[in-house]
Amino acid sequence: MNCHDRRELIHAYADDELDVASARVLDAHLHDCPSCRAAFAAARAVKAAIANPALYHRAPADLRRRIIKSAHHAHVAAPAAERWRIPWIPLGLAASILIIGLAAYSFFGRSQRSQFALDEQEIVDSHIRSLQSPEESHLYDVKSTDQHTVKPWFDQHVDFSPLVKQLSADGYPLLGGRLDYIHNHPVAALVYGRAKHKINLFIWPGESAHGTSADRGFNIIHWSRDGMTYWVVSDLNTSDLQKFTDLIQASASPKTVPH
Amino acid sequence: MGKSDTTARFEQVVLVHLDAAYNLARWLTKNEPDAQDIVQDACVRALRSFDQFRGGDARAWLLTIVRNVSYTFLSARKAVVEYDDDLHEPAADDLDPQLIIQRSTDADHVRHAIEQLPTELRTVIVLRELEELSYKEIAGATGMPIGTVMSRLSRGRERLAMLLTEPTEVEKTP
Repeated sequence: MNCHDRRELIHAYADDELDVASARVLDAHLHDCPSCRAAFAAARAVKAAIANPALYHRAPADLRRRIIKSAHHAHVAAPAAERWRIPWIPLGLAASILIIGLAAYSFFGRSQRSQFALDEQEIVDSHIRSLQSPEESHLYDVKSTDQHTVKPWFDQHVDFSPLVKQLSADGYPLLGGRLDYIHNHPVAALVYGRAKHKINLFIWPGESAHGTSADRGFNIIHWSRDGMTYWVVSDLNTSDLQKFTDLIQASASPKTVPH
Repeated sequence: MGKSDTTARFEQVVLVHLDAAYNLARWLTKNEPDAQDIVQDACVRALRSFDQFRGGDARAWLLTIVRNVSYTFLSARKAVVEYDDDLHEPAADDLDPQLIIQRSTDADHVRHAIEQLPTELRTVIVLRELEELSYKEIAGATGMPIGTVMSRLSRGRERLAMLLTEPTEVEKTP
């Protein structure tokens, strides 16, 4: 073993991570080799340089409070799948078939619904998070009412081309957008305004059924078109949010397919 | 277990490590607002999968989630500075321990040097020196073999030594 190969061992020794036998061998070598001794001293000097309390970033005071708040919002009880266990009491063939049929229906029905519930939960979490961030720092990555600024920004930051339309003439001004994450996947989030309300429009490639719902005081509408999934969420009333949805759907062009 | 019980236990077991979570996210993103968002996101995820947490080191567990959320965030912004393990680093034989000690009295100088490291080297350095995780815990949190942890730590420190001892702008001027 030459001294170059000992480099990693020297660092492990400085970290006290070598087994006793290897440590003894290395220790003897350090005694005889000035170059490795200097490398060991350098490793310790670098370790000491980093282990400086001034370099430790402590969490800002209000972060904990914000997390507890969003934890209370986000936490939902685990789905009670156990409830759907089938009681195998001898009921006769017809009854069994009926039960199997019902169980299958409820199983598939439920799994689809729970996927929805998951999407919906993340969308609403993300909406809340974007609005709670101090000075709207997480509401916009690109803050602009110009669709010709917002659109190219998205083209650079996501690998699909989301629909970006200014709707200020209809009373829903485009305010900006950001990159967000739903189930760990990057999605485009566009921010629109309506009087004092904010609307988040999430877009990503994929198919989804059409539906409307409400969660934690927010109204939610989702649909898909031309291979893209759209979710809108806001504290706006349902009829104004539906009107916004109609405007977005009307302006959707066939260009909004993944490229 | 009821909702409020879980949230309360989560606060006691996991949220006590908030500083560690923030420290890692802050070093990886190099800015405060992104680090805050990542930690908030990571904590919400941790709470959701808290049922699957089987005890053990909650700090290492939370740091694993923070690291993953940070990497997803950085790679979406194409901001991960890749590191090639096969790259042969120049020999760092002539490092001067005294000069390293002298230069590292300035915390800002050290901070700047650490921020210049490739993301993956910075990750292991922060986990080791600031969070004092063992090699085994770092391997668990980053999903890399212990041998890789060992080699990245040594390379990270040698690069840092070079960055710390580089001639300053004043010295460069003849």
